[in-house]
Amino acid sequence: MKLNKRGQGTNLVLIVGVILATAISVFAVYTTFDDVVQNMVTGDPELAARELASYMDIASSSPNEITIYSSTPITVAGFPAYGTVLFNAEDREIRVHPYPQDLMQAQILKSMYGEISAEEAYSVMALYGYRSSNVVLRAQSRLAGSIAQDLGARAARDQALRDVQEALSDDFFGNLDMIGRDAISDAAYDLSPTNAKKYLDLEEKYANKLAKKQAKAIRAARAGSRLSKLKRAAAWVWPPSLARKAVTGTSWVSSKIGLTKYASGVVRKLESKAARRAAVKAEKAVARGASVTIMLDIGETAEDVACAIPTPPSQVVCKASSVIRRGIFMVFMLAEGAWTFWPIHHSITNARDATEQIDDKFGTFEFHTGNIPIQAELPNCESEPYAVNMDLPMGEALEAIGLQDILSAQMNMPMSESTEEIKTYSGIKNRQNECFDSHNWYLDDGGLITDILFLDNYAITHPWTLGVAAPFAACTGIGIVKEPSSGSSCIMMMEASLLGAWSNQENSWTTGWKENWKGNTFMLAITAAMVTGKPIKFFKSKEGAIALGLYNLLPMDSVNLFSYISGADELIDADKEYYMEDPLVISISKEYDESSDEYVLVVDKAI
Amino acid sequence: MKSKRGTGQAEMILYLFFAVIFIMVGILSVKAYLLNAELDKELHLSNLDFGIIGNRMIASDNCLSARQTITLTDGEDSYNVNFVETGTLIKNRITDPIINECLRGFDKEKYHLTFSELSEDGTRTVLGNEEGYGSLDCKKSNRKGEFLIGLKGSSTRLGVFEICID
Repeated sequence: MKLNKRGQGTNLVLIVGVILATAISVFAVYTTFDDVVQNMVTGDPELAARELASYMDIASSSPNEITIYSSTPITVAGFPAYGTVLFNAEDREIRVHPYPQDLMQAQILKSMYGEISAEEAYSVMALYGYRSSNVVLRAQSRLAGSIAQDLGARAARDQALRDVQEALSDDFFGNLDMIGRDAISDAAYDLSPTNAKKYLDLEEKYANKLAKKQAKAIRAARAGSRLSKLKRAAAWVWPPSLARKAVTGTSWVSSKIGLTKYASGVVRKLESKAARRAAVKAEKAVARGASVTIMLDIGETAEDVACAIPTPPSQVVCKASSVIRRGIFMVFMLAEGAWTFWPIHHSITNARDATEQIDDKFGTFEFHTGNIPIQAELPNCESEPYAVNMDLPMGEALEAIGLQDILSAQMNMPMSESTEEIKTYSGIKNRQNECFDSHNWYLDDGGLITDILFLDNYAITHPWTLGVAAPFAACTGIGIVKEPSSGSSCIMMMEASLLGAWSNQENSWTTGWKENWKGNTFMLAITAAMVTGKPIKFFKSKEGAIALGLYNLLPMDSVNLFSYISGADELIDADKEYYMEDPLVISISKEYDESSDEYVLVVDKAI
Repeated sequence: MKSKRGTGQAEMILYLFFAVIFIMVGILSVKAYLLNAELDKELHLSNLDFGIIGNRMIASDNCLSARQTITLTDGEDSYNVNFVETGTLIKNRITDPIINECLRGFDKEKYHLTFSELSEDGTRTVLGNEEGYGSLDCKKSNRKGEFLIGLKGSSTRLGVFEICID
């Protein structure tokens, strides 16, 4: 009986477990599908573009001053659903994209390095790595900045503002807003990283101006009824609660999941892994070329000896050697085609596909604001390209002779950064003297190569033609028609020049001799040995010297190649499109501009 | 017996474990599929366009409406309060360049607007473009409006604004 009872008890636990598991599963299914569908609808870029365009239309047509707040939906992963919002005042167009511009470029770069098999996982990690910290930081700093206005403007603030705030706290927002605002502000500033402090300082800079405006707004509001006064002041004094909800929601998700730090580490590891793999591939390709060239050279010497002897057996050997060496060359070319040129081809098509897919995700809609002038509250900054060398732990021997730096420069990452100079757009007037978001340089400017090449003549100037088909066909032709060893040397040169074209020039012979004097000395010594044939005559090789020269001196780098290979420079028009990165709340206002004595439309990334 | 019952429970736990795993994999797969699915959407914005164009024409000083400024004094400070005289248009501004700029971007085939001046006997004299603005045939439109408007610069100070949207 005892045994039986115990069995029944255990069965009961199991049954409860089954019911619980089923309930949790049902709940998970429901919430997941609900989130996904909600995300699909509210996070659709085309809907967002239409929504924002409609707000622009409505605000511009309003007879009075009006401010419309548009909050960005938060995705299931906890990010703003719109990473890029572009306002084109010249063509009256709004474009919205789920990714911020740096992430677009990172995705294309990733596809070039060949991380296609891990697409989904990598995408999610990249999202966390590139977005979490910035989004949360910016959102928190803007919120903290809003609070900091209280401190910075305290002296100049009209007491009426505080009175109204206190009155409002009960009516509209609850007491929470008023509890420890000063303490929160102090703590927020102390805890903020340098970037956030920059925002806070800027907020403080404008605090006096804002305080006067607030005081004026409140005094003006006193003319109306008590309710309208409170509502109007409420709208001015504090952003809508949805903004705060979005901010706290975002930071809560990120901190709860705790993936920010972890994910950025994973991204870095994946990038290093991809780069290392690519570096190994490149090394092997050049090594293959060199070894086959040496082998064919040895064969050529033997063949010359045989051909010089006029006896029939020697002539047969001569002919047979010629055929065999060409056969070896053909096999070598097939292998090079498969191991080197096919991956390059694959990389180009992947990059182009990624660009196309990213372009397809843009939602576009025209706005019709008539002749009302458009102003941007937060100006954009100009941007410029730079390259980051990959961290490659290769070992002490390579580091000792400086080759590690050369390989790291080879596997560099083209990046874009702000110049802190204010960018101007046709049809948009900037309101402040400090700039914030900046375009990713690569998505608009193709660099040197796209400037030189006539891209209308697409078949000839396509990177596939110039980077794969032309060099492969030319070297194959030389190897078969002229001399196999010349063909393999040709391939080695082409590979070296292709690799050298991508390599970061900062540490090269021409621009950064001192930065990597060890590596450059080593490469110079090797080149000298190839040119002079000293100390070992066997190393004498004109083609080898030219290949090394091309590798180190080709005045190009990833900064110029990236957009050309991927076609990414077609994605945005940085001359016309004002950029908002990861906006959580966008405000569109019709305001009276005293300086021009007319109503203007103000676009602001409120948070 | 004890041993068999225990084995059965272990099997049950194992089944349960795999069932949950199976469900979660299923959810995530469908979620991944749905996240990349295209949304089939068709938006009807003609009502919004009706309001925007109508408002733009008769309630916005950036286009045709008149604006007034009132100065308020509060002690030593004075404030200018601007407001638009909704429904009152300035006759001189009803010209092709101004109206075309105000309507820039809207599809001309989807709207038709006319502005008329009312004389004392009720006769309407078309202002601006004789054919009106836009090429929509108003007979086919379901959204149309006719508004009596104030007209600054006119002898009767009255006019009519007609609008239809596809």
